[in-house]
Amino acid sequence: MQISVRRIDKTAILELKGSIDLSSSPAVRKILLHELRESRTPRVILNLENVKYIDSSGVASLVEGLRASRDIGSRLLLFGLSPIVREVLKLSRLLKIFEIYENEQQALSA
Amino acid sequence: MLPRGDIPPAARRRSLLGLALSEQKILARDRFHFDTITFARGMASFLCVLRVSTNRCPHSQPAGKRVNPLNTDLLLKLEFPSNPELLCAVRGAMERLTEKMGFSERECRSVTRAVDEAVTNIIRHAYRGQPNHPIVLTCYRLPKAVGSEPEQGMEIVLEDQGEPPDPGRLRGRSLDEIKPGGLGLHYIRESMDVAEFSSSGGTNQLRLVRCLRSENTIRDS
Repeated sequence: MQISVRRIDKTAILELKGSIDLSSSPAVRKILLHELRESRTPRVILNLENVKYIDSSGVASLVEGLRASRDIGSRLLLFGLSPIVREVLKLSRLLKIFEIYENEQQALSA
Repeated sequence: MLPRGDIPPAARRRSLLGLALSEQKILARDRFHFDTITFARGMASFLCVLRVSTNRCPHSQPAGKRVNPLNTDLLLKLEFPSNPELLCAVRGAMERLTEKMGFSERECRSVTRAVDEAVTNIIRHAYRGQPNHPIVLTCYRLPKAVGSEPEQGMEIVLEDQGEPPDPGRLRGRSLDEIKPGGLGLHYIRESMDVAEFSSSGGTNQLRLVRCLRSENTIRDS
């Protein structure tokens, strides 16, 4: 799992690459919560274009990030969901809970 | 189909061996029956049947702890330590195996996800995240059941020597509440035709069955 962060104005874009499972979700969670709780970034966008698998621990990390964003009044947005990631979020009944966009441009414009 | 509250054959056998038996119904929903057969002797042994959705699967009759498979072919056996880094290897093996069995692409993902979540639960809960404990994954081809529709299936048995789960945890949770955690069991139920958990003699066993059926009869999950 590779994670990198880009910043555009007051937005942090987290680029995730690989599989989010029990071995990697703690790192995703840590970076995500750091951006929200410590840095208090007003808008955090997750690029999931290159995420080929996500398990329940990964979904839990996203949910935790969403709750943290709501707690501090910031926004957490997702884009580039592969069919596999979309399927898991649908299975978890979370597709309508997250702000989901097709690409980075749409997410930045939202 | 096992009537709600009925006692599986394996439980009856244990009862005949002299174990006092009490039955505690945990929860019943439209599609799932959760029956926990709790044995005396301090919960030393129990079997929990998480009955899952379909009646179409001819292999959905609960068999209790798997000890002597009949008319089944061994497809794959993996023994590996409880290291999360190995989950990707388990997924890779399951993806190829389900593909080889003739499952659709969607079914392959579904079964692989269920196994991944089951192994994750073993690592997290049974072994409390410790990476060097044994896990055994065995896959069998299930034959066409006599008198049934022309269906085959796959049976997956996972075994570990960790702590058995609190039966209350096997209820899962409502998805109406937006909170982290508790999703793995939901994925397993949605993916498999049968999910049975049993624990006896220090070994926990999860038996999963998924029938092979034509694409147009796959339930929408």
